[in-house]
Amino acid sequence: MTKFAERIKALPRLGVGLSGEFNIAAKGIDAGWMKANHAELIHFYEYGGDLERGLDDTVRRWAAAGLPTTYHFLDINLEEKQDLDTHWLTQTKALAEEINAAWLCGDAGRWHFGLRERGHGMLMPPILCRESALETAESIQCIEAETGLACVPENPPSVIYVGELHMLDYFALVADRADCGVLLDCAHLAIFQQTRGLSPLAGLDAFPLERVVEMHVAGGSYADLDGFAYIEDNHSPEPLAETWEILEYVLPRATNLKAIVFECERNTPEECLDVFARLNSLFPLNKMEDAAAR
Amino acid sequence: MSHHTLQKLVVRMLFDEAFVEEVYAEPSRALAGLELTDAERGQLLAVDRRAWRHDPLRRKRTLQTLAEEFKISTTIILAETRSLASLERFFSSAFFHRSIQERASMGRAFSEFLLEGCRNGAWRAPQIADIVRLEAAIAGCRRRLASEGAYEPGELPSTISDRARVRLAPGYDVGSFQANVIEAIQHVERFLFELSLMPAMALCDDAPKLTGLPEVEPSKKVYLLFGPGASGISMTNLDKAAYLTLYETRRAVEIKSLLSKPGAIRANTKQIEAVLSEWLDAGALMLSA
Repeated sequence: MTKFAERIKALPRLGVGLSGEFNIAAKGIDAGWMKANHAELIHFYEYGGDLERGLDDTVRRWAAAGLPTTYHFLDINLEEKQDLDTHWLTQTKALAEEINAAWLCGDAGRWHFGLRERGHGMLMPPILCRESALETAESIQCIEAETGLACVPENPPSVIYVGELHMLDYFALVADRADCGVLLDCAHLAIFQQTRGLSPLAGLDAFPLERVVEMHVAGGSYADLDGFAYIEDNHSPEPLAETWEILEYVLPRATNLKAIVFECERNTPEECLDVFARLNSLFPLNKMEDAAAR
Repeated sequence: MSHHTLQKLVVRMLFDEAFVEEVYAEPSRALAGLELTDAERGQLLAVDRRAWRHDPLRRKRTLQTLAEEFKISTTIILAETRSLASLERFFSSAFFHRSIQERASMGRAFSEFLLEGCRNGAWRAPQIADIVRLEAAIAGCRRRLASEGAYEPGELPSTISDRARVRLAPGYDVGSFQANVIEAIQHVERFLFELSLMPAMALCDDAPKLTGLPEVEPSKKVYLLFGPGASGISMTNLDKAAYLTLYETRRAVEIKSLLSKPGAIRANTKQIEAVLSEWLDAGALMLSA
């Protein structure tokens, strides 16, 4: 297999995109409507899918129009290689191919506990240790080999992180072992840094930012539980200042960045237009404009 | 593989506040038997104790999913106990914790918890035990169908040797229940439908009440075959001979062995052959390697 540095050249630059999942158009932002009315603001659609629900009409229509997509899995435990069965691999590959996804991505950790069964769904971060990172890397290599698509792991959100590693050190190890790209969720990183009492940019200077293929931005809010302060990853329309700080630090250093997603699909379009505009000014679809901006 | 051990512990602690208290108060006792290093134990205990309570709706969301599969049982239990805690206790039960530790089905663990409640008198409605068993049978069929895939019966051989082995196809099962079980289910469904018209009416003193469940007649039985239908798992009435024959095929069994014990099945050889033929043709039974 070729090295990441070679493979990344084959991935398209997608620009700024919108996230969504099954039938979200009925409850929040319809990607098709956004494209029709604000074509200059969204250039691809990241569909969050699982085998139980499959694809919806919105993403099918989007793909049928020849517009770019990525497939964000919501149902595989990368940290648990046992979870990676043939059925999941073949079906996920089929779904991603049906919408012509440029790559696969998704939170690394666990999407369910134990069996993939109703009631077991719960997004959990990985245990931040070397052993877990190596198992995650093995899973990514397996997915890439079986699907023929790049698999880009994302740092997940949580209020509870267990393990001795910093989240960035964990993902650096995963990327190195799997020789893969990473999806850096700026909001999730801000959450992690807050739980560890660190500054938003802590650890980024030592992170291999050339591995960052995609970034996520989303709104969040501070919460308090009997004096315990934490950040809720509530995907509100307003990203926290810490999230912007991380994004703006990483952007000029992420030399292989292909896509930024604003995860805001449960809001109204009007609430989100300013952030889309800001993201497009920071990361234009056209690389020449980007070079000039940087 | 201690990160797997840690993840299971995290799940148990996220669901069970009492267990969190035990872990922080007496870690050596609460975590006994788990393969954790001192460092890992330290990392777990380094988490702010309050953080485990950050999602107060977690149990209710999960209970909602469990109650979808055990809709009738949980309705009868809540009507009887008038206490949500009676069901939330599941998350502190050995059934829940074992299912997480053993990477097993939580739905199955919930059915075991409900049945244990019947045995120890936590719920007393005489209808409840059979309704739990019936809903558990449907849940089991659904899971086996999902994990093994649907069986598509092809053309059967013109002759089948009596040394051939048969078993129920994925998604099929049989059970025997007290005769009024279906009527009891329909009674509860009517109540739930009425309540669904305006759920807030449950707050009213004159809200519909779940009363008048059909009486249990233990001496009378109904025999049911569960199997994949157009919308989920459906039920078909069986006669006793068919039930007893199909019961034997819950595990792969030689036809010869079935035919050799007609007395036990309380049917004659011809009846057993007829049952096998009918359900092989229908795809409820399959020839097994």
